[in-house]
Amino acid sequence: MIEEVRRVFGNSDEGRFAERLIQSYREGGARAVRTVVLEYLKRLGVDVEDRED
Amino acid sequence: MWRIEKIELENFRSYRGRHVIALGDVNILWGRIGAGKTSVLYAIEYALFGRQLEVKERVARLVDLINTEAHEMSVALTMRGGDRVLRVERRLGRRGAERLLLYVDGVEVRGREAEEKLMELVGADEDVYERLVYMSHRSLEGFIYGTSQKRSIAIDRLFGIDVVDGVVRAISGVDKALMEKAEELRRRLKAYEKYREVIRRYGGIANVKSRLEGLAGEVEALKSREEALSKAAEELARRRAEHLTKLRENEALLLEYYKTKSELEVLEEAAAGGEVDITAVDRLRDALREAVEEFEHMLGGDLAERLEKAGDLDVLSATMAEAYDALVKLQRELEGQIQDARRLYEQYLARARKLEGEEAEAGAKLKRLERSYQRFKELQRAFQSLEEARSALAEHRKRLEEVERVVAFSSALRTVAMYAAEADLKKCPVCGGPLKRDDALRVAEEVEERHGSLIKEAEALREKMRELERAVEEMEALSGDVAEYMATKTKLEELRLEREEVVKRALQAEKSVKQLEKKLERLRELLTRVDRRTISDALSKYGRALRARELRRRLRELEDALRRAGVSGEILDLDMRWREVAEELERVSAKLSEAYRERGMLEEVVREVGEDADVLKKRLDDVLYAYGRLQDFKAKLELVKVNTRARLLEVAKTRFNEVFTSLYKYGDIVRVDADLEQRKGYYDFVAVTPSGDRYGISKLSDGQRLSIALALALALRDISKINLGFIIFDEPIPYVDVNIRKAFVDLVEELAKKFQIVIATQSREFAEIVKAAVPRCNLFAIEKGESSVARLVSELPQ
Repeated sequence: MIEEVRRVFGNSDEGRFAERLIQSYREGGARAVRTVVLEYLKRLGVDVEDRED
Repeated sequence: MWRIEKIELENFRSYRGRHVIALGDVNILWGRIGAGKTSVLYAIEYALFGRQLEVKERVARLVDLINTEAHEMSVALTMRGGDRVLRVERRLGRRGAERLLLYVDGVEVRGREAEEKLMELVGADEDVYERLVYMSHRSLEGFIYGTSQKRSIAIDRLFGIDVVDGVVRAISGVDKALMEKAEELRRRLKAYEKYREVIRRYGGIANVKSRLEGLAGEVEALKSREEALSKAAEELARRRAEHLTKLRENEALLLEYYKTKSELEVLEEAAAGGEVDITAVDRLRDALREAVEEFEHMLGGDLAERLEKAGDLDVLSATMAEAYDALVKLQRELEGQIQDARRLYEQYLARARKLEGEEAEAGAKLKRLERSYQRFKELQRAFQSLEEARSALAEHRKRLEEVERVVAFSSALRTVAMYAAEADLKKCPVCGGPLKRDDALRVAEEVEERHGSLIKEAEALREKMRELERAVEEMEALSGDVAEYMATKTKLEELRLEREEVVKRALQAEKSVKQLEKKLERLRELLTRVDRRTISDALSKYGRALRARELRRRLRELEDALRRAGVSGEILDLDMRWREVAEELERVSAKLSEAYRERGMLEEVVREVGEDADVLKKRLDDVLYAYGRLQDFKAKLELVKVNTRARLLEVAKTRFNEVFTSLYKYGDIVRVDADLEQRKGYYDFVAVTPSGDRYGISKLSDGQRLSIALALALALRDISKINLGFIIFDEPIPYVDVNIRKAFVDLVEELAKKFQIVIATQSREFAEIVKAAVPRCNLFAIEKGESSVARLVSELPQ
């Protein structure tokens, strides 16, 4: 799967971000993914409150 | 591959104290919900990986695995693989202290090294374990009963691709938050439009916030003031009540007193507390009168007089306004006159300059002709005038002609005399008279003698003629220049005279301009100090001062009258103070309610808008951009998922059919083709019969689908090279009919040939079917009292 991630996203920050998300999900589930996504959004200048649905 | 020999639990979840469960090849854990079946399965997972699914998914904490009555728990798992023995012991305290001990063929390994060794020996991480070893009804139901989508999700879970869905779901959760954020920002922007005017009035949101902070202090101060005034008003009202009868009896006087006092206060307040200078109007009147008098010749005589005599305020006001208007008009006229005079001055100046130029030009011309003139004068001195010279020349010419005639006669006579002498003629050849030679010689000599003087005279005359001719010629040549010289000289004189006259007039114009400017300056200076408003203010102040004087007088009269009526100064002060406090209280209350209203409005603005429009727009743009990025990201992840499905399916395809045919013994299906359908990328399974007929998965029975699901899981196990020789089924097929259970039992029989089987179920019927089909299986009845207990039984208790 990781090979496919690299193939689809290429050698980019986005690709590394995708790998990090998959790894986070395996280690800490949806909450860990949310944490990583929220960090990513912060870098884009967007501050979103973490909230579990 | 490792099979479990026994599980030892101590204070693990519902198992209080120490419990040992020895497992066989096929094991059924039966018990009602919450009896402790799953705890046994969790204990296996915890022993192997130090965690378990609920903890991983954050549903529970690790310390929740400790029995509620205990401070520490431990799990030991003994496994055997051929001759080898592997024992895993894990211990966990409430404070989070963990310890792992690993015994590999009796050799102890600890800590991190033990974790690594255990992972190496097991050949799977917890993720693989949860997908391919620990099978719950969630794993199988989706495959057996679900739609293509649900089936794909179940298979994705087996493949471990479900992580992509998990990530996408988690991102979608954030998407939702982003959309809500965008909606909130749009709402705020809309609210900004609604409150735009208010925000503009305060100079931006920052100022609105700052004002709101300031208002908090103001409100508090006003509240305190209102409270203090209320108390003071109450106290004064109480004291005033003692004099109420007298106050009521003199109500009319009091009302007039307050009205007069109030009007006086207003007037004094308008005068900024100071006394009004009533001589200001007189000073203003004097200034206007002086100015009018100065320009009396232009404005007429009666205005100054009327200003002087005006006594009534209205007449004075009208006359001062009239004088002011006349002076303003005069100022404009003077400005016009100055402009005309200045224009005239400029014209004279220009004319003088032009004449100066012409003078210079004529002077130069005169200088140029001077020499000719002087020469002419010199000739005049020598020969008088040109006419005189011409006349002298004519006379000389005439005389010369005469002399030349005489010379010619004389010469001829001498020649004749000489000839007569030479020829000794006896007769005169001219007259024929007798002639003697001597006489002829004498005549010749006499003529000769006279001829010389005649020649000299002729020469002198010729010389004189030449001189006169030259003079005449020169005088004639000079006469043009001389005439021009004389004319230029006359013109120069005329120019000089005109220029002197023009300069004189220019000086007069300049003087006139200066005089007018001085007058205008004085007028301006006055009009700078005095204008309509100044006059109106002065008159108004004057009127107010007169009114104030009148009011003071009336106030004193009223005070006397009240004193006589028994309303002393003290009572009056008290009543007045009460009225003042009551009025101030009213004002403070009004201000307070205005502050409350403003605070409410600003709070609403801050709550609903919060930031300036450009900040909100920027934030909205950022949110929409981030949303777009995440959508793009999710789309790519979907692509990753489908691609991964195709690749993994390709890898598992062959082994899957081998496993399926080994599990499924009925012969009506010889092969199952697994592929991805093109439209949505879902898994597609087609069963092929011995006759070559092909049936889609929806046409297959539940049992056939169950066989396919297990075959797929086992194929993946094989591919994954897991060293665990057991399969755990946690409530694998609840709520299904007996046929499927029968099919499942048949599969268990087949699986048991290769794997150790552990089944947890609450279904008595299912447990009994399995026991009947596989008589050698260990049947554990799990019950819960103060602690869960697993008892090995031959029959299930009622």
